[in-house]
Amino acid sequence: MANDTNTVDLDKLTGSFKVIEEANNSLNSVSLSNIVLDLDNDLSKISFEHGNCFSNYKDDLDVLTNEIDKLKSEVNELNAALEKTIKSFADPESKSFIGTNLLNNVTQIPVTGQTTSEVQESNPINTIPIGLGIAASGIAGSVGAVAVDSMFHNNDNDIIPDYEEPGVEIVEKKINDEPELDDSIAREPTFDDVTPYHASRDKEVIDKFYNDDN
Amino acid sequence: MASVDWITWKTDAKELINSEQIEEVLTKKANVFNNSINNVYNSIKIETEKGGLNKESLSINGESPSNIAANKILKRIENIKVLMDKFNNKISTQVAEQKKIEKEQLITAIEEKIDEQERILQNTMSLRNRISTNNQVVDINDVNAIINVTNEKIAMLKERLEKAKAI
Repeated sequence: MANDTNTVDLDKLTGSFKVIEEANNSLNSVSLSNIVLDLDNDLSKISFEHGNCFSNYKDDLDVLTNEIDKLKSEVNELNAALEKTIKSFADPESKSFIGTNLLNNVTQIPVTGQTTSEVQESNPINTIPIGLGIAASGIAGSVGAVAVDSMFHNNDNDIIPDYEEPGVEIVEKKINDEPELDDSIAREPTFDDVTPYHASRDKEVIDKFYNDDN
Repeated sequence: MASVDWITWKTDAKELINSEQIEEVLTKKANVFNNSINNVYNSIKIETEKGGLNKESLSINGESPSNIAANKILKRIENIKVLMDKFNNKISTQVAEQKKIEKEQLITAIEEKIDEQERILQNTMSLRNRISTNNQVVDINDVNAIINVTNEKIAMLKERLEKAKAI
């Protein structure tokens, strides 16, 4: 059962962001695709000199290159999503809109801003509970989360082809065939899961107040 | 099929596919590749294990999409490493098969060349037996020279054959 409480620990999340950012930089600085390309060139020459002895190796390298591209894209998207989430929570007023092309159903969500008083200062690890009382921040959190989560929804049909054995057709496997991923993705919250703040929510309290008064 | 031209080009074992050299290339490339991707894998793995991306960092309705994304990346890297390993193994297997094929071709080609030279030798020796030492048309010394050269060729080819079989 999903927990309705949305929280973000900025210290932890910032630490994780730095790790992901470093991983992203590492993937971009050492080009795995170039290593594969070098391998392709070396093998191409050897294969030519020896009667094209390596069969279908280019297809295998294409699969490998494709996987590397997907990896770089996923790390880059996670990096960007974490950055957006941190920015939206840490300094919501610095951005008038959050949520861009990373979001599925949400394109632009106005952020109403989160005041200092809304942060529970008693929490020693800077955890920010986002409940019904601060629905606007909840929206921001959800949008940040959806930004992170959107990668899964975008790649629901992502295919990782298995390695092709000689004489055997490529067997394709859906990443999301793995139960743990499918189940988690299915439960992932969307923007619609967060109940927006509305005055009518307080109607009962207000009515009670007036009734008690009477 | 082996031919005279073919054997001229490839009678030396060095001309065969060099499995050791290819293994070296594959290993070198794989090491650079794995070092790079393992660094990424390990840093993200450690971050997920210590909870940096889990629900304690970011929880939306009890879920942590960043952790799910990180785990998906880890699975992607594991898959890439498996693909790379299988690719290298496949190439190594094909190199071994190609080396076996080329060795058999080399042995066959040398054996055919020896047969050819032995036929020349037999014909020449037969010719020598039919001509007299006083023959004015064919010099017996020329015939002997042909026989000697042919014997040398056969000896050389047999030496190459032994080397080819030892590959």
